[in-house]
Amino acid sequence: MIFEAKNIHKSYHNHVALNDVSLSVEKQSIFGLLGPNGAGKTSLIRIVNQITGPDSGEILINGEKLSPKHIEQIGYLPEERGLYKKMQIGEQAMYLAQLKGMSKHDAKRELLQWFEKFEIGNWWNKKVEELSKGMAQKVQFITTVLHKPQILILDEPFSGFDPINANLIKSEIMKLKEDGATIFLSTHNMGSVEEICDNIALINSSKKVLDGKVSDIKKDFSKNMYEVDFKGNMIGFANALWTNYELVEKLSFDNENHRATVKILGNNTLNNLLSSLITENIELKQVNEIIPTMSEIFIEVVNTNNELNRKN
Amino acid sequence: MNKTSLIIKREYLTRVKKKSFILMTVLGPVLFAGFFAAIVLLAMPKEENYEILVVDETTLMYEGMELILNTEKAKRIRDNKAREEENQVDVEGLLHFQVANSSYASAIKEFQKEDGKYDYLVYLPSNLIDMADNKANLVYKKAPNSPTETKIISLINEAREALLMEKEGVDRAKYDKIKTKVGLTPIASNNLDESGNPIENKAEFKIAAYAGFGFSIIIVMFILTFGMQVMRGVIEEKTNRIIEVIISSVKPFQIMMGKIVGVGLVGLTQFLFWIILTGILVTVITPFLGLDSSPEAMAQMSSTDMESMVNSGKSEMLQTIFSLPWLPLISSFLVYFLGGYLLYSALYAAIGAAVDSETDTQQFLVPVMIPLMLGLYVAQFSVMTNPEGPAMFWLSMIPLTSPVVMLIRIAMESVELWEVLLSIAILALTFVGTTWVGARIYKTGILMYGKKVTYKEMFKWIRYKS
Repeated sequence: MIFEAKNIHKSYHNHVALNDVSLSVEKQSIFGLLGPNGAGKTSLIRIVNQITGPDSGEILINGEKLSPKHIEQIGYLPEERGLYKKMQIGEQAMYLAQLKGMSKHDAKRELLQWFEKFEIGNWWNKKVEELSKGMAQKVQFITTVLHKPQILILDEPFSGFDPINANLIKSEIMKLKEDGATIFLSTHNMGSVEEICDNIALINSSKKVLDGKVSDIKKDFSKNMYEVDFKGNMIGFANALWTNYELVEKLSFDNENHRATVKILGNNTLNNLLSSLITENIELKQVNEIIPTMSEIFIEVVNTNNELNRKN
Repeated sequence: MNKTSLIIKREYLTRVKKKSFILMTVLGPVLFAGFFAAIVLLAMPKEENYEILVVDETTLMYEGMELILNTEKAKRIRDNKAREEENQVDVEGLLHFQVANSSYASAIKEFQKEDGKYDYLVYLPSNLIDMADNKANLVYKKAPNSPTETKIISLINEAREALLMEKEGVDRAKYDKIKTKVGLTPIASNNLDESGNPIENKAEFKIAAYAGFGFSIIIVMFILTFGMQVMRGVIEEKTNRIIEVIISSVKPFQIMMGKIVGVGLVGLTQFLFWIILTGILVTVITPFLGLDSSPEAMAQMSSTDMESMVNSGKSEMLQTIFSLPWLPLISSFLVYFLGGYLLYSALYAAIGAAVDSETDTQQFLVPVMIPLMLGLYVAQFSVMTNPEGPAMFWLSMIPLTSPVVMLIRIAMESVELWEVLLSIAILALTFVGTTWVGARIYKTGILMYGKKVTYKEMFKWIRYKS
């Protein structure tokens, strides 16, 4: 484990920001840090960045207790990010890189490469106020990853980018992972979570309420429901289902073509469902399993959790 | 490179490279010179001709004037300017007195005419000569400037004196001798040797005090200007959110100190340039003004001339300026300059961190400015009334005002070494204290958004555990 958080507790004078949060993250993976606004994500990120310290609990990087020397191994792209408006971007990027401990020489060499790669090579002497938002975002991304940190913390890295540049950033993130970086991705964009995250943790009201591999979580949250397209009539289809199945939703495309959403109850399998339908001479066109999206899982977990908190 | 020095470097370079800085550095001394010149010019009364209508119920205007115009000084004037009309008296070619041959009431009517040519009406009531506490009246359309007013009243008094002397048979020379006043020169006892001779040419303390006061004003200006720059810098970093990035690489204290030191160096740079440029400006301009500003040249100037009074005053001032304790003054200036700036800029940084925009800073800025202003005002007042009194002592010990007040005392040489050392020690300790407090507010404040901060809130931040 490259990163471990053990029983982190943090409270400000009038509220608890993190309550007994533990996480562990494998090396060279992308870890989604999810949660509604105000759940405690930023507090956790600030603790990892050593901007604040936890009240109790500890953070381990490669098994070592988090200490100031780790600052140079961490790259942080905050959600609310900015640059000095009046400063030239090249000079500014050099400054930020040197603050992360890079030598002037290395910083310059790496920056030139990245500027080239992001096609902003001739922007070196421009001031930030002359750049579009997307341009500034590119510069910020570069300054975050420039010093080749082992751990990258990206808070909403895609916001403000057009789809083309968002893809560019996405592929750079994947490349950084291949090169050995471990990436924390904090985002509300569930699409990108599904696309690139290996594992996630969901924090709600200062507590971790869910974590694990994305694929496992999706499996866990699948409701054993299938979408069945068929030819015939809906009454016949409904009659074919026994008590072991529940017809959740009906949809007719025209007189003959229909779609039914079926939930399989008990220990029955898809095979059982199909054989019952076939026995009743239902003409099947296609069958798909309904897999919940991360967005649906997010909403469900958070709502259930809030409901639970309210009851207590 | 050390991270704090990186920050200092950035803060310094970005500011020094700004056009506004270069402009202000180059134009500063010129602007100052122009500003003072403008004030002097505006305050200087214009030499104008005034038409004055006189209602004279006495014999002052005829007999009295006649008498004083007989004196040495008046003769010169009268030789150049013959009386054109019987009733007109020209004095130094500027004041034209026209004696009205009518009553006060009709003279007023004449004076108030819209196209009337008179600027003033002087009314000399009949009992003016006998009763000393009586007053003449000066009726004006536009209030007279004070030299004109003085000229008129001294002419009237001179004429009255002359008239009375004539009447009572007093000898002019005797009277002048009696009337002469003696002066009083304060001399510090430690400036005299055992036999009572002055040891060295020491500065006259009031002039010295004003020289010190000049330094105080520079310190206050510096603190206000560059303290505000620190505050604006902090607000800038906070509002454009770059602070979030920086703070993940550097400790808040390092950022704050880097900024304070960087901006302070900018101030020193500007100050240094101003001194050099002013020096150049003075050397270049002085010959054009036809002034030899060396004290020897001043002293050599004729002392019989009417203007010698003014010049001897000037040369005394220059001598005082040359005999100021420059070495202790400049070294303590630097110490108080830095101490004061460091003390206040930490507070400015804290204010910048606590607010979301510059518009919210007002309520916090006022208390920071009050001690500085108070120091200036109280010091100015004390120098005039009680230069070595308790107010000066305490203000030069209290760290919030000592950078402003102590230099005046050092310039006056009315301070013991232990007092200076104690004051510097207190200043240094307080500087450490305000930096500590400032850093704590700063640390919490820079990451706090959208909250209307109160003093109560700030005190809470100071008490937060780190």
